[in-house]
Amino acid sequence: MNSVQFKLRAWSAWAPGLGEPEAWSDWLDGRRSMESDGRPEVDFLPPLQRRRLSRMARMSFVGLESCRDAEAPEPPLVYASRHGEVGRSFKLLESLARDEGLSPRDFSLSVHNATTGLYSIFRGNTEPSVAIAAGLDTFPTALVEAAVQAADLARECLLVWVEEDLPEFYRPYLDGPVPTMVLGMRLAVPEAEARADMRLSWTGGVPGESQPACETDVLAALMSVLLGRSPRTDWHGDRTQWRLEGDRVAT
Amino acid sequence: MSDLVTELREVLVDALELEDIAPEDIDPKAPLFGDGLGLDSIDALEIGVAIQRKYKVKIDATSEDTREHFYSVENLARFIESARAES
Repeated sequence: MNSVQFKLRAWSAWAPGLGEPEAWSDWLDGRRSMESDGRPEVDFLPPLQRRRLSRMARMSFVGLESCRDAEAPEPPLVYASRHGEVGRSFKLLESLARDEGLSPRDFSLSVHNATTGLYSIFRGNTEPSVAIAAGLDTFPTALVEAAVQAADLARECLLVWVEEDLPEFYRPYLDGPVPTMVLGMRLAVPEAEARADMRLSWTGGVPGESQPACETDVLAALMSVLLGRSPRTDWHGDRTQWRLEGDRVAT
Repeated sequence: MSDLVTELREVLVDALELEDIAPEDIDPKAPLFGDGLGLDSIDALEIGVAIQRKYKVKIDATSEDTREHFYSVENLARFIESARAES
């Protein structure tokens, strides 16, 4: 089994109707549900930078900002989303079908690394950034990337995982609904004298019979560790089995 | 104020997602770019697409006059009216 270890310096999660760790705790227990409407406040952004951001981009900014260390140099960024800003791509395709001109804004912001580009302009961040989409394995793949970047560069790394409900047109092609949610994390390499707070392990191949974990399942697994409910969680995606272990998790 | 100017201000707010600006806040004579409304080059392209779509006018991106047409809402209205008159 392969694994990466890292320290988790900060995390935050937001979904319509859910923000604070207590709310996520209630969600995990089935006492609260995600809502479908609502978007987070991004008051920290000047109006001219804010106006073009989709709800998804606003969520990403909130995930990154809430985990950012204001005292430290700007960190490398990892952006993860299974479908990205597919809503914008869909609008472009609709325009093409109607033989209309394409919106330059939608075109420029539909690419997968647009959000980290905008965020890097906002923060003057010239560090490397990576945008990942890996099917149902999107989040853990991004976590591997962030942990490896943190280890390779020997510095902290910001990770954001964001998903959004897809346009109606695409829903029949999906196995299940995609939650509208964002999760931010700030990772650091384990210090020599300290034990790593977290470890992600994986092995190729998945059990033939069982369904892969959907985004909501992965989020629930992750929350159980982040909220200190369980020391370990296992799930499998499209082609990989994953295990996340957390120790000394502070909420 | 002409109906076209009034309508253009709404088109701009809508197309450029100027969420904190009401159509009546846009001074028809004020520059759209730089010191005025503070729009940028993506906005210029977006305005071009929006008015081509709505008013079926052609914009020549290489023409020296385009800069003048895009200077203000009033200029845009004048440009659309003359382009319509020609077609």
